[in-house]
Amino acid sequence: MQTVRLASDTDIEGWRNAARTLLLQEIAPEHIQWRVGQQTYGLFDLPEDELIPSQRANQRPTTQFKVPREFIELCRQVILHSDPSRFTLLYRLLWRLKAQPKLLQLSVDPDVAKAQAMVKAVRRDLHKMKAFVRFREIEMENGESEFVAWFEPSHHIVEASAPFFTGRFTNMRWSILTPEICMHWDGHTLNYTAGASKSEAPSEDAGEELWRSYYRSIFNPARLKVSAMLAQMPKKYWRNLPEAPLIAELIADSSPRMHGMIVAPPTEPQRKIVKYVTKEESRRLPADAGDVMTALRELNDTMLSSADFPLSGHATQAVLGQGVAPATILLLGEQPQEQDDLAGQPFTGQAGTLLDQALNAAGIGRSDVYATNVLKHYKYKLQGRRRIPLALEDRDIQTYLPWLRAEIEVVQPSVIVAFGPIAARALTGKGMESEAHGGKLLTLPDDRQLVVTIHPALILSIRDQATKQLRSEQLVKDLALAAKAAMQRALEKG
Amino acid sequence: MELKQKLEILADAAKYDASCASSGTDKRTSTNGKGIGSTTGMGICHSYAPDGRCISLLKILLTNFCVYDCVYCVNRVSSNVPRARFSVDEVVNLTLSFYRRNYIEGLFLSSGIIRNPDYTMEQVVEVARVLREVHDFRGYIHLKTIPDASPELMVRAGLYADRLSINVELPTIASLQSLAPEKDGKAIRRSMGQLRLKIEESKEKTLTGKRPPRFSPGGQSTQMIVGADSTDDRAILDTSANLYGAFRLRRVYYSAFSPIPDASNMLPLKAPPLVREHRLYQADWLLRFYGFDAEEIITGQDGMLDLDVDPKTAWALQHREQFPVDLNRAPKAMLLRVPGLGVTSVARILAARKVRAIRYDDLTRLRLSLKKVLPFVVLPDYHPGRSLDDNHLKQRLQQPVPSQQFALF
Ligand code: SF4
Repeated sequence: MQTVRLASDTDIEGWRNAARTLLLQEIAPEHIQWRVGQQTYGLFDLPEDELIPSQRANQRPTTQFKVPREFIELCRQVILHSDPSRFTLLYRLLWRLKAQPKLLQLSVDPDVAKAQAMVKAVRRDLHKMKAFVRFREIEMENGESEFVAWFEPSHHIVEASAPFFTGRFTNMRWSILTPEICMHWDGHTLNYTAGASKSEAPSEDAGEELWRSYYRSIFNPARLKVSAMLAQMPKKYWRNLPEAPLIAELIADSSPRMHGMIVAPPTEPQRKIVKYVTKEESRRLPADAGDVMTALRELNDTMLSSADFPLSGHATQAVLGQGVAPATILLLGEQPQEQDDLAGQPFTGQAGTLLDQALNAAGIGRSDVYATNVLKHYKYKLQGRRRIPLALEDRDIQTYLPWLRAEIEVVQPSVIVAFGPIAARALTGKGMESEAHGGKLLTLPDDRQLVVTIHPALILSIRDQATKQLRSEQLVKDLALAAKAAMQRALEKG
Repeated sequence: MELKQKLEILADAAKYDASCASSGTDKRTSTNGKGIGSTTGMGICHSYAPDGRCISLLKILLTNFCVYDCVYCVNRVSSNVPRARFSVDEVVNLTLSFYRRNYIEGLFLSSGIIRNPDYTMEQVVEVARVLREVHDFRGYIHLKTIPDASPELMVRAGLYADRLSINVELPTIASLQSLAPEKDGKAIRRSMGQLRLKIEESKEKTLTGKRPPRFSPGGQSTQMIVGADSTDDRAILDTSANLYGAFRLRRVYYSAFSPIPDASNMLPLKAPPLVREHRLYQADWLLRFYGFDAEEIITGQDGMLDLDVDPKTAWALQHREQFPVDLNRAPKAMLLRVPGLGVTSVARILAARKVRAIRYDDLTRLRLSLKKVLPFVVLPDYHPGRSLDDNHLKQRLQQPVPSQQFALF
């Protein structure tokens, strides 16, 4: 039996050095005893020469054995546990890793399971320390404050908690006293001293009364769930929590309080009640717009308050047309994209940016046109956490068509640009592919002109760069065609 | 009025908001700063009240004066509760003083609506500004946003806050109309849409490669009151699923409607439906992490979740033909559907079975509820036999929901 003496309970370096050497000597776990002690003369009780592997020196050196990174991480955590058997457990794991390099993936293995349970306990204790340390303020002679806390951790976690406290309370002077070790921060450096006793910590300060008031008031007596509280805040921590003495009284009072609320008759309001009137919205259109704009706004208002929209249920909002009226060019998409649904405006997001660039290239300003969709709501299906756009059906188009017609009447465009076959169908009654009809100027029954082109959002989804380029150019050409036709019409009208 | 009294009134007024999370934001410390505070990313609960709720943030209202008349709310204009209003400095000092003593992770500030949405929002944002800019406070700040406050105020709120939230309050727009007549359900959704766009924008690099200004790095969340109206669980989960999809919320909080002092007689005055609330949270979890769809979670005819067993067990009992599942072969998606197997246990099973077959004894070391798992799985040395055909299986799996315990002392 060999005995290894580690410098302290958390002496991870010492453990690693010893473990490395022992492994090299192929000393089995059951022949080693691990101790924690103050001796500083060396890690081992054995004479030095016994540590050097002599007769095995010619064999393939075991030193090449590499442990997985996660094992080192595991060691760092497990060593903080208070269980004295942890050193042996870790060495046994190391020993077994030689033959079973994938051992750590086996959470069902008794040794691995035990180590993982220790890690969990250490993490929890560390977390609870961050949560339940309560500082008390002491005023020093120079008028500054110092904050002191008393805490009793279950494992050897004080040093591991240091980065948290120095990172959070960097510009404060503080000390955390515990039975095993104390930690002091002066604003610049961290010092450790020997363990203390609770009587060395300061007693209650003025801030605690306010905290207790808060604790009392934030508790809802109608929702008593003591077991849920105890699961997260076990009684062992209560000793040092200023709010804990209130718990018994709050629990005892809760039932009569809840009952009182239930039986109390409703009262008449004593305050003078001023009815709050929500301001009428005029979000989309400028207030001083002319007659056409007023007509458009009225149309939009009627549409918004109409109950006829089957799609409005889950859409974020109606996406109404946007732009000035009258306008010579009306851009018509089939339905709002997801981004438009969120923003409440047509043609936003990446597709909107692409459209703006194309308009620009065609010599059209976005402010010269009126942009809208056949559908005024985003039609989608939920797939997990994603909203997938759904294809329009004929009845969707029928529902929204009267509004689109009215909108066109108000805006009075001479040219309409339809993005995609479905938008074209809403106007002509038949589907028209942009491949077949792009580049052509068509005439609608009401004598307005129609250009059918590709939807900017569709261009975005094209993977092949050459095709994408080609389609973008087509879009610009079609828009330019629309601009030219609109100009022509304007000249004809004189 | 004394500070203590104000605190009592304004904490009492804030306690019906279930949200307490201090998680999800970017990590930071005070190391290079003049002030105080840090965030770890995962959030810390500094205490628990006997209602089982975590106390992580100083959760208060700036004022409980309110011009609205939402019947379910203790602060509604027609209620006779005592009123109070904090000054900006009072909230700031209280936050810092609690923070220094390590009582809290930060501040969750909300407010009754005074004058108009913009005025109210401005006061709320001012508190956050003073904390961040004057005191270099780096702890967590959660601000309740007032729907339809001006976009500039939203931008400023997002600059200082770690998380923003707007409560949808009730699961349907129709209930909102009847119980909170001045609130505009559409405006609430509209604001959430704006928040999502701003949050996503702030994460994208701009064309110049500059980092866009910070905007609510901890995302947005919302709360729904359960049991104040007659909406069933199916409709509630459907609303949640759509809220998650549309606005990428971090969380939907469900708050069982509980009696309030000076209550309106329009509401069900009874003990809050806590078990139902618990089941909704479990179902919500299945939506977010277990690959369930909203429709399949509700197994009952009445559109309600089963109160006797958890929703996953309820689902499994209705789909017994899909069980038992072979723990050594089933794909991950199916393992996640086994009652009693959580995300962690599934990950461990997947890792372990690559090394060797999992046997009965191994299960005991995974720290899971064998009683729940065993009827639904097969292992090389274990088969559940006919237990899946057992008509009493549900009764056997029923776990008494811990009732209110008074026996603590
Ligand atoms: S707006 Fe409604 S829910 Fe909010 S504080 Fe006022 S009354 Fe309460």
